[in-house]
Amino acid sequence: MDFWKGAFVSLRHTKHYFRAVFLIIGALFAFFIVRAFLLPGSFGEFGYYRGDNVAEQMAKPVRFAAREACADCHGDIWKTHQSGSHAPVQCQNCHDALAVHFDVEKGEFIGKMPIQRTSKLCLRCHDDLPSRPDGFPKIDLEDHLKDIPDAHKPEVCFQCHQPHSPKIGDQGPVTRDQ
Amino acid sequence: MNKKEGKIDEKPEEMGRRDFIKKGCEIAAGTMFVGLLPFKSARAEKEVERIPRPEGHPDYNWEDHLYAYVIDTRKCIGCGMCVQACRKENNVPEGFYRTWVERYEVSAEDAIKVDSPHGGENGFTADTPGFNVSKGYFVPKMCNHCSNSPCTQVCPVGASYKTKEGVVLVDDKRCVGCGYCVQACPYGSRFLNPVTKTAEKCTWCYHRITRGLKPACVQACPVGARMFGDVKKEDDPVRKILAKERIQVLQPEKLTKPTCFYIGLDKGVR
Repeated sequence: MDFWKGAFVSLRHTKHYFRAVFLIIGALFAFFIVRAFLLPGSFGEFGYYRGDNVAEQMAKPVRFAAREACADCHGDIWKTHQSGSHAPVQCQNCHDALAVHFDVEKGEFIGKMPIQRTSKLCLRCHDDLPSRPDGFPKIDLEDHLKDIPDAHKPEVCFQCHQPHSPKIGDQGPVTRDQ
Repeated sequence: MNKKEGKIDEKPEEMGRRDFIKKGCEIAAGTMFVGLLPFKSARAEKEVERIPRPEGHPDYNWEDHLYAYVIDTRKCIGCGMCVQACRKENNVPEGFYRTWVERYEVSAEDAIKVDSPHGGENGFTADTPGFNVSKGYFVPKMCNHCSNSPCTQVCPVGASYKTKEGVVLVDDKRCVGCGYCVQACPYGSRFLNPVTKTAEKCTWCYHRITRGLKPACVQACPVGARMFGDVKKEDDPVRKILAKERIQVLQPEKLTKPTCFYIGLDKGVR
């Protein structure tokens, strides 16, 4: 008899547990429902992130056009440039990104390409710094300009070198329209 | 306490606690089963249909690519064109850098000077390290797009993630700007954008590479010190370099498994 009594008592007490379990399940439901409303629709589509963001990242505008893009309009300079020793330097390095010059989709001219016509631009690559690798054409400015008049002028380099094809003899000195 | 005692205080028209919980659970269970079934099937359809693609490239499939980056420090001349191109392409705010170039000057006695004025954006000029420079070199740096990326692991809101092509990106609409990822990156590649107040970093120009272009920094490099490729393409030059050359990564002891590889790193570089 004692055994049955004990069983009855324990059964009565299990009701509390059921109540607690129901509450926990209810709380879990509430959590998942609130979560479903708070998370963006594409979250978790490919992983623990918002799936739509991948396409958003792809859709950002391209500002630097492909290297060859300039050839479409500026064929003459492009040919000079490609045959010279500055061929590996893309046009948009010294000028600017195509996006400030021409809208390709609309076919509209936006503005003139900026260009820095000073020796500073040349020295960015050719200054004789100890960290610069040997074999690359490095210029010790004082030594290089020792026989040149007007050596103090900022545009001194362009008196002899044509930046699009800088080897002396390949092309004449730079002119304004180039 | 038995059933009868429990009902003493109860008014007949009101619902008891027990009934309330019971009803609540029934409704919740019902909602779940009704709600879950169509939801799941809609999701399954979505996954089949949806592959993210850039506009005008219907054949792009991100499962077909796995990108890698190689930097040859022996070639770098420190012109900083890459840093400039990155800022223009990605509209990086002044004073912050997604990529930068460091100049190392080392003496025969192992004294070392490292500097990176404006991230190398305006190039480098002669400086006075205070010792005779016996060797010097430039090291371009950027996000290493680690396979085992600490930055994505610490993000509490799922804003930072790795795409299937191996590119680590930040969702600026989801980012709350807590800065955990900025702290977690051992390479210092991330920063909080002062305008948007969200984390920002190199994306390998995700908008360019998915359209078949090179990242802006790679295209800008005049000496080919920066190379970008796809290791899932058989005749890819970067894949060949990874297979044949002696390559290194930055801070290998961190076990982050970078997918940005270096050639010719000196021991002083971290």
